[in-house]
Formats: sequence, C-alpha cells, structure tokens
Amino acid sequence: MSRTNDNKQPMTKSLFLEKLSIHGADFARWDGYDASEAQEFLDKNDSVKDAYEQAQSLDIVLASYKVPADIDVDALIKKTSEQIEKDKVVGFADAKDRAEKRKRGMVYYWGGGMAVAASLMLMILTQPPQTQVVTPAEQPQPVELAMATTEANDSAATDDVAVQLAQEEQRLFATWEQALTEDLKQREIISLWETADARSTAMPEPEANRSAVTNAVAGGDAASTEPDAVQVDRFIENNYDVIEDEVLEREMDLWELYLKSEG
Amino acid sequence: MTDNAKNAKNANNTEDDSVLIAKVAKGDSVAFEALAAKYTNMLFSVAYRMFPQQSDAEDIVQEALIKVWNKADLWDETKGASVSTWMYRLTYNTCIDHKRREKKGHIELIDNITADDEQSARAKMEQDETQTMLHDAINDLPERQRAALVLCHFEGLSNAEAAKIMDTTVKGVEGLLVRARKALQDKLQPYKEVLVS
Repeated sequence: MSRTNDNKQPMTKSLFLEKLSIHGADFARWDGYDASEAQEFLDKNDSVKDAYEQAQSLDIVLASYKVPADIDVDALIKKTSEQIEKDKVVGFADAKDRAEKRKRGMVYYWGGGMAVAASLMLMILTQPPQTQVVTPAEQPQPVELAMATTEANDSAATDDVAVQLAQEEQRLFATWEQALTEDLKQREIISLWETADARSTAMPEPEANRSAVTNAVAGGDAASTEPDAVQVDRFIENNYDVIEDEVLEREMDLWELYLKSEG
Repeated sequence: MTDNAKNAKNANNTEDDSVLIAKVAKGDSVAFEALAAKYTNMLFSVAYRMFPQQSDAEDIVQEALIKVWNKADLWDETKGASVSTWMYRLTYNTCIDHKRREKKGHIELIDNITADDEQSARAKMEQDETQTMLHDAINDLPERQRAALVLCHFEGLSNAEAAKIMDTTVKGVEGLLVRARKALQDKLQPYKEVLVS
C-alpha cells in the first residue's frame, strides 16, 4: 500500500499529465508525490487545469459506483465452511499431512518413472542380437547397414552387420565364380570350335595319313614291321577315336552353344 | 482511500495474518473463519466490480475462500506478498477462471437466456440510471483494464501491489489504467451532465 518513490522526479507538465491519466485527480493516489506538491503545481499551471477537471469529473462518477452493502458476510463464511466440509476438499485436521503427501507423491511419481525407464533400458541392453533374414533382392548395401546401426543396441547391430557383410562377401564370391566359370566355358567353346575348325579343315588328314601309311607300307618302310592292314587300322583307330568318340560329337554341341552365345 | 482499502490497511497486520494463515495451513477452522471474516468484504468488492451480478460475486468469493483453505500451506511469507495481496490474487485468478468458464459455457448460457435477461432487467430497474450506465461502461472494459481499475482505483492498492496480483509489471498496470480511464471518459462523455449532477 506504500506510495513512496525513491526515484522521485521533479514535477513537470508532462509528468503531471501522465500521473493524472494513470491515477486520476486524487493526488493522494499519486505514487511518490505529496498531495501538496501536486496541488502547488496545479495552482501555478493553468494549462493543466482542463485535463485536471476532466479527470476529476471521472473520479466523481467512479466514486458513485458502490458495492451493495447488504452482503451477509457471516452467511457467506458459513456457506463456505459447509461447502468445504461437504466436498471434503480436505479435512480440517489433515491439511499439513496433505501437503506432505503431495511432496512425497512427487518423489514416488518421479522415482517410479525412473525405475520403469531403467528396467526398459536393461531389457534392451540384455536382449541377444538377432540376425535379420535378408533376401538377395532387398539386400542392403554395407554403407546403409552401417548407417542403420543405432547407439542403443550398438554391439548387437555390429554383430548383425558382420554377419551380413560375410553373407555379402560370399554372394560376391559366388557371383564372381559363376562369371569366371561362364567365361571359361566361353573360352573353351571358342577353343574347341577353333580346334574343330582346324580339324575340319584337316579332315583329309586320315586319308593323307592313310595314304602315307599306304605309301609307307607300299614303299616298304623298313622301320615298320607290321602288316599294312594292322598299321592302317591302328592309325584309323587312333585318329577316329578322338574324332568320332571324343571330339566330333561334343564339338557339335559346343558349336551350337557358341552360336547361341553369339546371338 | 476507500473504506475497503482502509479496512484492509487496518487488517493488514502482517504478524496477525501470518499467524492466522499458518493456523489455517494446519487445519484450524477457527483461524480460517477469522481470516475470512477479516477479508470477505474486501474480496467481495473486487469480485462484484469484476462481475456485477451479486450472486456471481458471492460464488467467486466462496470459491476464493475455499482456495485459501486448500492452499494455505503454499503461502510463503518470504516471497514478499502479504496475506491480503495473496488473497486478492486468489480472488483475481478466480474471477479470470470464472470468466473463462462463462465463455466456454456460452451455449448453456443461451439456454438460460430468458431467466438471466429477466433477472438482469429486474436488477437494472432496481438500480438508478447512473449506476446502470456506470455498470455497463465498466463492464464493457477489457478484463485486465477492469482489473487494474478495480484494484488500484476502487481497492486503493498501489500499482506495485496490483502488478503482483495481476502478474505483470508496474508499467503494465499503469498502461492498463491509462487505457481504462480514457475508455471510460469517452464512453461516459455523453452522460457527463447526468452523471456529475
């Protein structure tokens, strides 16, 4: 209720009008200024008198605004006490206990919350890491896998990543081996084709050989003691074993494969 | 200074009030009734000027007193507010709550509009013309302007005390007071002759 003001400023017109607009014409309401000081300023300055009179008339009007005097205080207090008792907002005897319970309740509340949080954290940390089943089409890249690790289950995630990296490595090796095998097959096909081609161009060879053998036989090769027929048969047998049994049949298959691969 | 302000000043014996409130915090109903008897008129004056219907004002005072009973253990002398300022604050907050409830319950109020209108009309007939005009002019003020005017002008509290109650600064209260007085002056200008005579 104090109206003193240590930072009192000297009264000026603007300050007077400011105080007037805030507190009205009753100088007793003016924080930090004596009524006599304000009155003295008013008496000496005609320029503020209009504003003062306006404020004064508003104060008079406001002063006429009365609060009904017929309020029955005792009845109101009695009603309030009955209401307190009826609602049992709090018993008269346990107000202090209620305050204590409120304080304790906060401790239990936060303590309980923290215990639940700690239990959940423990469950997460003690859970064994689980390997994820990843289909080849959905297989994540190592970088994505590394990014997918989280701080919470760091060790479990690291194990998962290691397993997946090993699987990825195996898959890559298998792919590489498959490619290598196919490459070799291609090379073999080409090689066999070239061989076959070379042999096909040399088809008369048996004949030539046969002729040579015949000639040799006819020429009376001193080194050969075998009869001509035996020598021819052996020659044919040796060459045709290779050509008919081994090379020529397979050569046709490979030839077809080669053509297919060439489109 | 108004009668209520004088009463409050007389009653504002800090030692007595702090003793009483401490007893109330321990559940002393006699102390509660003593404190209520001391301040009920003062609280009613605020409530009535915030809510000119007497029944509303009484409800607000009752609610505020129940808060005093329930929260007596929360009053802290070291925080600097006197018991009377604290009780003003509880009443002011109750007024604001009441106003909010009134806004929320607008549909329900429409249901009862006939009864309220009749009551309002009867009340207005009972009051003289000046009171009715003043009533309306003050009632039309924005909530916080009205509160500043009620606390500072009608209750005679300092701007610093009003600022504490309204949870604002002294400058804030001063601004509200200037606007409230200006609005009232403009509104009541046409009736100046009637009002001042």
